[in-house]
Amino acid sequence: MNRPARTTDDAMRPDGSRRSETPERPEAGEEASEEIRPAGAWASVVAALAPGVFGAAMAIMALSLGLGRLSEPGAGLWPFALGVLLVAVSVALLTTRRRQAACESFGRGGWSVVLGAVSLVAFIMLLPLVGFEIPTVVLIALWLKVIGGEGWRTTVAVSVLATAGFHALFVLALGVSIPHLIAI
Amino acid sequence: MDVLSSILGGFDVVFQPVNLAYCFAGVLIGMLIGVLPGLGPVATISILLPITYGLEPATAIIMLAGIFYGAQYGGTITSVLLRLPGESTTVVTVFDGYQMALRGRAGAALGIAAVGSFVGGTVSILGLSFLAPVVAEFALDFGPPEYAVLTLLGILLVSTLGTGSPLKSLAVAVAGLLLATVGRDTFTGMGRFILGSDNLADGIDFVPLAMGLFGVGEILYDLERRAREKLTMPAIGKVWISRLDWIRSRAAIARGTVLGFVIGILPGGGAALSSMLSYAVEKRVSKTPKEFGRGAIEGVAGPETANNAAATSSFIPLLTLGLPANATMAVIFGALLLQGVTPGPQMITEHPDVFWGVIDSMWIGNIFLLVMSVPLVGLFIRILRVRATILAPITIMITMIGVYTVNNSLFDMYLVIGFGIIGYLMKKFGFEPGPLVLAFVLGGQMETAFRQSLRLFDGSPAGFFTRPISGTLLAAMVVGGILLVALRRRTTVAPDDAPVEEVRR
Repeated sequence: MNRPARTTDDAMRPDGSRRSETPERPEAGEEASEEIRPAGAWASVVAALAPGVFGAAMAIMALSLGLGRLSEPGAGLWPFALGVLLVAVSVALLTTRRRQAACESFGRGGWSVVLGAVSLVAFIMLLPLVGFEIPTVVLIALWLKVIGGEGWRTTVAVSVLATAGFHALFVLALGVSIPHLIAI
Repeated sequence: MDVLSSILGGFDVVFQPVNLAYCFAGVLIGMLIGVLPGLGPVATISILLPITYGLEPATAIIMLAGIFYGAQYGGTITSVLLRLPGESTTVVTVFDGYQMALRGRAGAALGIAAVGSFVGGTVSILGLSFLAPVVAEFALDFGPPEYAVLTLLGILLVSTLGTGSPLKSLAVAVAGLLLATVGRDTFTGMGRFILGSDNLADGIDFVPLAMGLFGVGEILYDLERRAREKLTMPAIGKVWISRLDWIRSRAAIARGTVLGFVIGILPGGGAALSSMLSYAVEKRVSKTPKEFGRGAIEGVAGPETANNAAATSSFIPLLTLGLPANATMAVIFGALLLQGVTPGPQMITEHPDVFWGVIDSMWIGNIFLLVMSVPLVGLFIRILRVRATILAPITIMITMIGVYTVNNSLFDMYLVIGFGIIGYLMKKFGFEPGPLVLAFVLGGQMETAFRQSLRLFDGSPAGFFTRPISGTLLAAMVVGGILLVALRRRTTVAPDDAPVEEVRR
């Protein structure tokens, strides 16, 4: 794991109390190059409300499926009950949010995540059009060079070799039907 | 059926060359990912799910199980040498293991951990072999109410006892149950929450869900905290233990085995808790508790034994009751379902080859691991030098291409990314994805059990308490839960006394 300090805390303190007392301890493991700071109070409100919104939406949709009776449950009874329960848990989270462990803020590293996710969506859109080889080379190169900050030599070598490896593994060895350019 | 002959029959399965090969591949992969920072065993098993499609059920599960217990061995190496727990199960090994390494005794720490793991693992397999058929036989009488109670309490225990905030875990588990309702209702045939999409008509697939939440979510989360390694590690020395080391450790190994085995069976107990508990016990019974945190070999031997024993015994509830005790078991549960094998009391009679083949493969796997971890430690350490920046894009491509191959579906790929982003956000906001996946795999059967029970009781929930088995189960699980919470409270005290600051200088 890349985050020894957190893992240690989580494991030792199931309630996360240790983490909220001393949220920053990047020194353990000398790995944390970019510090992740705890997020502000807004984050704990979002964390408490998000499950509630999902639960409420599911409960409302479940109503239209028909609840039936307890002796003859309809299609909507179970999801409705779960939705209501989730809203209740959400309220409990909201009232206890100061005692919950702090959420993490989105640092500059957050942009890597956005870029990473967008590049994956682009990969899927290109896949049926041009096969998997070119998008794979481009995506691996992007992750290595832009997100990972690797040198050009590593970028080119790894992206080309890895793609060749995938072709050999998935197309030649396993014979899966992924769209591909190179026929052999 | 005679248990001994069944056990022997299982070895026929294991000794098929293809199964031996996949067993070796599994423990090797497990060892590697245990050593490498980043992906844990759950994420790895999720990512490799597509590969298991083309395999025989026994072969597939033998490999996945190997990854799981192999990672327990691998995680130890980084704990001892680098103060980096590879897995949450090896966190307490850091306390004394790293101190031993600083004092030039890394070889002894790794040696005793390997021996302890082997003893804990193999004794636990023996317990598994004899206890599992008994439990399965008992569970054959379970009807819908018993199953409903069992799954409910299983999910509750996992949520409240897992790592992280209990309330948040509960929220996540309920969300998982809700996601499981998407698709066609088995009773009325009505499409639920499909939002007019053909892709959702048959529900959400387990594979993209697990691969997204565990695999992609983990990779995205790690992207943000890109590491710049400057790993300095102490010299390993000879991986060997002296007579004195063994004499000091053997009682700790014996206690760790029993403790790990018992804790592993309980839902939500698992390997992490058992290792912490073992550390606390060793410190308490020690005549020289002051040595703990300064390189006491018992503090490595006990927990390392316990986590392996627990990892093995956590297969009991899965294989006999169909109840996964932790997130990894939930994914293996999903893998079994994909293979058309339903984990539960019938499994031992309907699929004896899978049941006994998997259990027996653990003997072989543990032998592989013992052989690999003692002389080959130096080799595994070198793997640590592969940078995370290079591993991340390769892993993500294996994930993306892999999920496509399952159904030849672009939609599944979008699902993986969607769940990956959700998994990333969950981690940012302090939610563990484990309970969600666990609840998701149990969701369908749990709803069916509840609805059948309600019909059976003519709408009165009191029936759950009055039926003898379900009532007893309810009581037993409540008592067990209280016991576990109490144990946990006590163990959280232990690391306080340990000189944590010293470890973390």
